[in-house]
Amino acid sequence: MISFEGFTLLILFFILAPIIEAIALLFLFIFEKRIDLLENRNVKIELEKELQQALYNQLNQQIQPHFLFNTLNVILSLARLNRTRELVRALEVLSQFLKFKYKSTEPLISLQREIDYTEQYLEIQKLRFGSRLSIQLDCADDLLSACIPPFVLQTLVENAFKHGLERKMGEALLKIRISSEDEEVRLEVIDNGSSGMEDLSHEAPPTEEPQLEKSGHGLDNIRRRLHLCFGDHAQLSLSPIEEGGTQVLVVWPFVLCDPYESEVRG
Amino acid sequence: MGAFALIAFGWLGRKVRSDLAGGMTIGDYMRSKLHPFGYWTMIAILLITSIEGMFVQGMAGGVLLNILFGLPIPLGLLCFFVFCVLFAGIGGIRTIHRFANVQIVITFATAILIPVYFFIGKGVEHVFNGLRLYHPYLLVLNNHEGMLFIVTGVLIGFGQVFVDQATWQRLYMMEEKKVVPTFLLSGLIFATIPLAFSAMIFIVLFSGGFHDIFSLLFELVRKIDTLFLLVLFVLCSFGAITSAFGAGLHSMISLMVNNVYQLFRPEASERQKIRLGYTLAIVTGAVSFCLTLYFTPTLLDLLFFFGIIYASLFLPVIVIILTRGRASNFIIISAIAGLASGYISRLYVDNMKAIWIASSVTALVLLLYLCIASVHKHYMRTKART
Repeated sequence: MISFEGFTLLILFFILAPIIEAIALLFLFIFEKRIDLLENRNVKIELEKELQQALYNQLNQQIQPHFLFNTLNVILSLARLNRTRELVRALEVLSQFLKFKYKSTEPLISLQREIDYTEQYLEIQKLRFGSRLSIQLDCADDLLSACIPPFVLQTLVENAFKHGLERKMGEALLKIRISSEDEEVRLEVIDNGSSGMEDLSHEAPPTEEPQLEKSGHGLDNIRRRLHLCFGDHAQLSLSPIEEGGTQVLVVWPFVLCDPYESEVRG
Repeated sequence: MGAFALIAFGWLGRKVRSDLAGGMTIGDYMRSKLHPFGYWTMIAILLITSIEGMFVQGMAGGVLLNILFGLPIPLGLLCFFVFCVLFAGIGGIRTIHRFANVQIVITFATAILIPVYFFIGKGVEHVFNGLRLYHPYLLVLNNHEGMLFIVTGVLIGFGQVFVDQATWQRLYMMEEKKVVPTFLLSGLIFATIPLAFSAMIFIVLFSGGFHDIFSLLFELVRKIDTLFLLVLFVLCSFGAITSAFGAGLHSMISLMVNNVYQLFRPEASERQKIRLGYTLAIVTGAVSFCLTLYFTPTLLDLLFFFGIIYASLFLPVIVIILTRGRASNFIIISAIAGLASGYISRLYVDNMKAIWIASSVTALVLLLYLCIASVHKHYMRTKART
């Protein structure tokens, strides 16, 4: 037999249950649309992410023919000059370089891998320039595992050759400095060629901001990719050097890449 | 009782939607899962259950009008039918859904305010003493008959929810990802509202005995002495019955038009279909009116009488849903066997036992079929290998 206390509790439950249910229902009615809205927003964000990924991949693809045509021109020059040994070596290095390049699909790679790519490109250029070309590469070991969008350094180096060192008579000097400051990575590519500003201004759309900021297709591509990856935290600037040449500075946040992945892929 | 059934149906609903995404009624689903014999048998049973559902709700409406305004039950039932046919038949499902929110508010207000008002006014101790004096069996925990009644109710509730055309129609109306949470919530509401109404019944019971369920309702209405609460109670009762009746009527019309009429006359225009729907609604109302002129069964009698159908259909419907591809006619035959045994045994045993016999026979025949099917499948597989 149920006691009086038990009966009171039972009645209390019978009365409270609909009240709790009503509150829950009210809560659901009020927030249902908001929950749906949040879900839809999540879907929208996912879609935007997908779109950005697609855009990013497209930009990555864009840069490949750009590089390829420049390098083919280098090889063509070697062939025209009948420098067969260098030509063979250039084709060998290009083949290795392209093998890595077409395999790379990830949005960010380690600086170590990027430097490796660039060195393969430089190898091709060294063949062409011979002893006339001197390269300085300064990079602290702890920065080698920092993340960077692929082909950033390689494009900057390529541009230094295309717009500066190609026309330089005498010694061609290329400095690559990678340092860190306030949780940011600073990449400087300095050449002593002609400033190449006029050249670049032809390539860039006429609406670009100051003259110094004008850049060609490669630099514009780097800007857009940096923006996709790091938003407003990344920047790229181009400036002429008084004693002749150009300096390109890229700054982006220091983010560590997965060391295992870089090891495996590198 | 219906609470667990609704929650369970939510889980099955997901499978139903993945099996046939583009359906609209239970008939559409059964057509895709059953052979013609099984399909037509199922449609016939569904038609009987939907007419029964409307008859029960019509009776409840008639009784309520009888209690409130003293109208004779057949006349009250007719008024209720006319109102519902106009409300649901002409207004359509949109009108039903438009009133759904208002009805929920009224139902919760009734379920919360009336018990609170009475238990504060009368005091829990008085109600407890009254119940101990007049109905001590309600306070006994090991009341076996009461337990059997509840378990039987669960069995009927499961069957009722699983073959309810309105529930199936709602299943097909909602977004697929919301099926499980919606039925879960509906189940919770179904669990709490009856609790509140049980508390209301205690208010009536504590002051004396009762003759039948109708007299309980009459007593409850008499006890609500505040006009506001009385209006709230009347609106809640009418709202619940009207919306249930409306949804039942609408789904029956949809079933008849989409799954019966269209198969015989595929060239029928929309206007012809709507006309048939109205005719069906009017015929159901007229038949119910005539039936109540000759006999007025209690709601409990009706529940037990038709409970045999629900108890026999409960398991076969689950097996049909869980079967991959087309379900065998034997599944429907098991339901027919259950129905036959239930109604025959009713002549010799009481209603509750008849319900258990019906569901046990169905379960046995189904089990036999499943065993044979499994052995046959195994044999065929072995034969194919050798």
